[in-house]
Amino acid sequence: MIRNIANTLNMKDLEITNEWIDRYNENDLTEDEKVLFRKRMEKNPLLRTEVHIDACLNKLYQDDGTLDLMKKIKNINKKTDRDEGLWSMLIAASFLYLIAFGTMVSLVRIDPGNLALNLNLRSVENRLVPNAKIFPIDIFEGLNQVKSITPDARRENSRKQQLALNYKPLDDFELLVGCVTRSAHLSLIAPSSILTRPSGSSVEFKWVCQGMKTPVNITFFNNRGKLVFEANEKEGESYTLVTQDWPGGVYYWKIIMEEEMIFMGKLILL
Amino acid sequence: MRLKYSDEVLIKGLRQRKQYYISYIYREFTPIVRHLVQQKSGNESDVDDLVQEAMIILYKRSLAEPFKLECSLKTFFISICKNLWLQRLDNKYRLMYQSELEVNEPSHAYALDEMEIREEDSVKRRLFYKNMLALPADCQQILELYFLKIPFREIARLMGLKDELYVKTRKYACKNLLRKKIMNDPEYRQYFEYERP
Repeated sequence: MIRNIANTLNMKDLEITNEWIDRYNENDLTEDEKVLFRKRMEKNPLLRTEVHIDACLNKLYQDDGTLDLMKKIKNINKKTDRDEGLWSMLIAASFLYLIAFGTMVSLVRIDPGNLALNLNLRSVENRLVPNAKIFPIDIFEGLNQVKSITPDARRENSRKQQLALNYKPLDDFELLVGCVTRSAHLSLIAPSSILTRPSGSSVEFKWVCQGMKTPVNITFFNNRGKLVFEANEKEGESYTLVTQDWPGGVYYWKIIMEEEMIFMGKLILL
Repeated sequence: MRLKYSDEVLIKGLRQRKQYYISYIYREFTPIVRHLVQQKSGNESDVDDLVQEAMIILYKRSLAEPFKLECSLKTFFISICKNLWLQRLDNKYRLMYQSELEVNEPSHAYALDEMEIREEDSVKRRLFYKNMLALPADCQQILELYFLKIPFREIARLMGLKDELYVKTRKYACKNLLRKKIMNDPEYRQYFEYERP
């Protein structure tokens, strides 16, 4: 029984430490709670330290400019580390390439007359298999294949490249994704600000208007900022977008009410 | 070819926290700080710490109007680093050192407010920011949005979280995690042991 009481007290102590520190520093405790908390602090140096750290953290978080600066400096450090890593890899790769090339040169002889490579393994093979034949290797075999690429294959390659370009985010819009610029009369329920769906599926938009219902416009842009679709929902509080025939890529949507943007989000079609 | 910017442009860029100018200052001034640190057997991590801290001090100074330099930005920056570095050496080894001047400008031109640059503050700040930026991404976002005074309900909606109660609980948990991370950081123990029980 005594153990149970001790456990209960410990639990209470934990609750106070976790939440009350925040509330104490934000002046959110009632007078009674404050008195109790201060008593706890007097007895508990660890709690005092936590309160001190928490107060420092609050101060640092309020200075969002410095936090932003720190993030940017950290990015430079990361980039420098990455660059150094890339350089080391490049140097290592160059060494490997040189070793491989040196080995190849010692084994292979290039015959420009035949435009073919003959393996210079005669001495080795003579030792291993006295009557062995040496087969020339045509180094232009692969090149000829590249030259004979068909127009269909070229079109397919171009389509793939185009598709890859569709997924490149648009920096100007990226900044606004998830931003609520004016939400006094409208609360968006769905979808979330970034949504990924298979191409061709439907996406449901749901919102709630507080007070008078006002017509809502939903506009869709591709990743180059070009308007691709516009929906006018005059009275309802939902709209279902069907993305059939929409090529895969990154799309941005805006909810506009009374010619003002209220919310912006991103839709990725795979 | 690298472009050269005037001190005014660099300070303006830093004040606006533009990545390009921050990178430029970092790239241009770091080699000199590295040289300064290596003379006294410092390592690369010391260089990063000093440059980071000098950047913060410079940024804070640039925000305070009117900000006017009596010397070149480079001299100012290096003198901040030097000041911090000597304090750190003094704290670490209690060495006697002779502060030699490396620039050919009168020393009063870059005399700094000693009260403003304290190594202990700098260590503390770096330690806190290090741990703040090492939190899980969602924790960082919740805490930043919370301190921008965005209501819990709005945070839940922006981040696609369940409801405001969840955000509130998560915020407490993140703050708690951060406090624990700081208290368990070896650097905290090294410098601030006196604050521990």
